[in-house]
Amino acid sequence: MNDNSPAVRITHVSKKYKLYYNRESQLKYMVLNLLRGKWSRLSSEFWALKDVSMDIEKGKTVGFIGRNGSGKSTLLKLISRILYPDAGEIEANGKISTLIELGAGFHPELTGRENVYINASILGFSRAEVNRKFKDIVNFSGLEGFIDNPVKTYSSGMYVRLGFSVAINIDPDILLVDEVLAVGDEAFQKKCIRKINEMKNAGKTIVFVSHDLSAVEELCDEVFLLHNGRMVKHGKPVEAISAYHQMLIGTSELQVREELPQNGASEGKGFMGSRWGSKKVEIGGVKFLDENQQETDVFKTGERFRVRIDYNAHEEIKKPVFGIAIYSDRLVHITGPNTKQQNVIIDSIRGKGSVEYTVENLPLLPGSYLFTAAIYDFAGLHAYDHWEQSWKFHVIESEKVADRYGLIALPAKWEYVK
Amino acid sequence: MIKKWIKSIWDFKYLVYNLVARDLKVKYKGSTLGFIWSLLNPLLMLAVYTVAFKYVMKIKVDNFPIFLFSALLPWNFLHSALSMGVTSITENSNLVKKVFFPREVLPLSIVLVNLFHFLLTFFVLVPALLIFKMAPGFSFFLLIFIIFFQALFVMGLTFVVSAMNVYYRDVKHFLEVLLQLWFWLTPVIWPLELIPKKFAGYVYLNPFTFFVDAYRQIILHNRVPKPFTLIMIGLIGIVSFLIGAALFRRKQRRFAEEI
Repeated sequence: MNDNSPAVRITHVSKKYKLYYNRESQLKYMVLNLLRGKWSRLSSEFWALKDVSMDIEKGKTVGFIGRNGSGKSTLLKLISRILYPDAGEIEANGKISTLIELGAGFHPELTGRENVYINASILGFSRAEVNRKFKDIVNFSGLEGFIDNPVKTYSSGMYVRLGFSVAINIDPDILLVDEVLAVGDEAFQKKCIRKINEMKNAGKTIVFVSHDLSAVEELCDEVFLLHNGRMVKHGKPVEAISAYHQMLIGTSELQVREELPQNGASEGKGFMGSRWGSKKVEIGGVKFLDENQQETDVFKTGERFRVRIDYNAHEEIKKPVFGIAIYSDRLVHITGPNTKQQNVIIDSIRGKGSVEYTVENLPLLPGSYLFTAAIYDFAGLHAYDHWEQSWKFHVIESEKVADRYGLIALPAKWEYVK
Repeated sequence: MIKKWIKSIWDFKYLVYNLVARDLKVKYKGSTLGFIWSLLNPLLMLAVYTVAFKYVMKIKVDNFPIFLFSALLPWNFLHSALSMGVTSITENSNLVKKVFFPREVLPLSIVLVNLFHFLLTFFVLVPALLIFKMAPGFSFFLLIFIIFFQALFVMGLTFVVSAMNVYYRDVKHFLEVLLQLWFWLTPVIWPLELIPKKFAGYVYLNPFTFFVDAYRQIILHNRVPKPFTLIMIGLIGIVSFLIGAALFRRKQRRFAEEI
């Protein structure tokens, strides 16, 4: 390979998704249509990327930013060859490793050791390469004492840590990272950032997709801003991030709705969180509503913030407790109230219904926030349905509140007392 | 192009090995008899069929157990590879959506697992032959050839059904019915001679008849199959594999989004 050639060259790439209304009735619909003499499937199209071109230079760390549905994750999947473009070409020079799904392919019955070998082989590594890296992987994960236990005995944190250690300790030329820095405790996250910096210094090319703008600013040399499937800005992190902020303000005031895929597609609404619970009651959806009761995911500091949680109880549930939590994009737990704490006792529920959580003057400062919604039994021991960090909303600057630093604006005032 | 394709899969040979080993390990984890089940299973099946057909329905065939074994074991290989393989992509949606690797690896490893089980059953077959005083002869070496092309044949079919099942989930259910039908249309538990001379030709429209015929000639009669049969087996194996692989190659481009 020519040393001057870019690590990744993307030329006029477009990608279209087909959205199916109902997977199960595909064949039925097709047969009926064939009988009528038509060849078609029950679907509509959605362009996730339109005519995107870029070069990613060797040894650079670049970031893709943009709102949900802007196409940044699609672009990353195209580079990693999980998806194929509908038009254009993608050329990658070097071995690629993708940190998209941690622990994909872990088998619960097998031990951590066996799973490390399988996981690394899924990423395309030979036995000899894994043998060489095995010690590093286990050390990095901090799971030395558990490596010969079946992974079904692991906590979800351990699971993710092991997956991350495998993906990051094998030695790619190009590392693709999608949102996974939001794993583990703070110490582990620091370790990961350190490792990425190490790879960066070793001259690896790193492509980074994240909502965590501060991490993007910290790590990246260049940033590409995507919007509705197009690349709209390419430049220094500060420039691209401020363009992104401008864009968020612009779209929120014009009330432009994004062409977000409603059904299926690759990025559902639970785009990064995890979900657990018995599902006797299920959370059907979470909607963020602005002062006019319109759905949005962009709020201003000081505005009214309302969340509606729709549920569906499959049987009669006595005294359910609804709770939410808000995290910063660095995963600081900001608040976690529930109905029981506020003495809102719901005797019993059955079927569909909703609860609302309202903050009259949202004290959160500009940034992106993760949202958790959950339903528990009255004792708080049994989870009916818990969606951890499964939604995201943004807060932008407002004229009303002048505070700038930190996460929240406390309802406070300054006084000069001599 | 074919060379490049084979290399892309060869690069992931360690993954294939791991998937096969994982399947075998998980399958026997926790069961007391473990691997013995692979041998016990065909033995028990043989007992059931023998009782049903020889003693209840009174089909008159010499050496019925071996007659049945020689065709039932290859059929089981085809049957289990296809019925497990059809969901090989859809069951791994998590992997397919999140990680790049040649998707061929998934159906391939299923076929290899079942091939392995098939080969294991020869540890039952050979002693059975000895018990019935039918020492395996020189023609046994031909089995390597037949098994190889059957594996290609099965691989081609598995490519097709696993890829189609991503697009249409009904394929899996359709296949179940089809395999039932296919089983009864193939001379596995009934002898070829049962068919009136007039219709004998039609039986060979079923590609698997050639395989059954060859296995029987070798195992039951210790004879070398007719050259025509051998040529057909080679052709069926190669054509099925090439068509299956080409279709899979084309269809896999949209797996990650269709799954």
